[in-house]
Amino acid sequence: MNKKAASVIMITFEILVVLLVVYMTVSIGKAYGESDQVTKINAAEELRMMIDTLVAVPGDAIVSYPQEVSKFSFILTQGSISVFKKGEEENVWIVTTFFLPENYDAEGTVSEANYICLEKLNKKIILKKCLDVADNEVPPQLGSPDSGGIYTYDAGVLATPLYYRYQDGSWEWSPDKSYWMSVNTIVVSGGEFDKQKPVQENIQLIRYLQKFNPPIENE
Amino acid sequence: MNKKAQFAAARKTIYWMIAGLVITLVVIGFAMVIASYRNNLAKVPPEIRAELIALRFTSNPDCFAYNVSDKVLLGTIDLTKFNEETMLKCYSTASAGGIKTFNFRLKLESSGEEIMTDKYAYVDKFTIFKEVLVKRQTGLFKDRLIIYVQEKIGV
Repeated sequence: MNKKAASVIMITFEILVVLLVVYMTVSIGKAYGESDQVTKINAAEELRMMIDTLVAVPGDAIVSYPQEVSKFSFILTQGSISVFKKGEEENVWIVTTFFLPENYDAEGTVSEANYICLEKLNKKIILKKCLDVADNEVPPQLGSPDSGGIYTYDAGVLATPLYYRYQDGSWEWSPDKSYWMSVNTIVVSGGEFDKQKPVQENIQLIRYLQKFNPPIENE
Repeated sequence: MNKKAQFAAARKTIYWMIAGLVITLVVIGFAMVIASYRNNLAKVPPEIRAELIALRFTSNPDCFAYNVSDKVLLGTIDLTKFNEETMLKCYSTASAGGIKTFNFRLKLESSGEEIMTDKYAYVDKFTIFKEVLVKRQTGLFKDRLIIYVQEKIGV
């Protein structure tokens, strides 16, 4: 074989090696980038911090985890929270621990729920699916509409009742039936309640309607 | 093959042996850097965690918060509860091996009274300060609660 042929083969070989190295590094980067590990770790850490905060709240409370978590399953026990994907081996589950005061309890299992809630009832912390309603259904809390198609939701004595209606393919809400806001906002525009925000329960409802936009039959 | 050609072939072989090793180490190093970066992305600052755990000390009546029947005075410490027995009921690290998680030493600045969690070993990492009221027999007094935080000790 002459020198020129040998050097061509060497150059080709070297190019192949470079391409192989580039492919391996890109594959590694892509594998880590597509992995759900960071999301699972964040969810576990954030839920742990939420539980610590709930322990500090005197009395009862409910808080929802703001991220959509339909890909994951959760197990809450007396001292730990586990986050995993269905079918995953237990050795890749993300588990974080926390410490509850004496006589406190924690339990709950949720799988494939869009949103999850942590509720503190007496000295028990429960992990559950939020707004126990199927997607693209009108939340049952809204009840039945009046003759004008307006739903009323009363979140309690300390909250102003809010009104909801389904108009032109999307939901709107109002504190007074005069000024209507799209569910894309949680701030009142106009009227007596201008620039105010609803209570947390109504904000949850508004967010739900914004996300799922459940249609009304025979609109 | 003449000597020159033999030398060239041997040189190339040695070169590719070394290059192969270096490339392998670079790829492994790259994977480790990415993994480390990913772990840092999900890391929660210990100060935040400690702050949230410490909330219970002044807010939960099962810890040190002063309460009158169902009414809890947030940020007020009941001195009758400020002892090791209540601390053990409020925050116990026995299930996590004790020193492998946060431990706390609580001190009231004015009176100097001090309590600590069961595995506290005076290896303070940082300190949290809270302005509180202290309920004594004679009334309510302003004070500062100093919370010394010990992070995980050991691997």
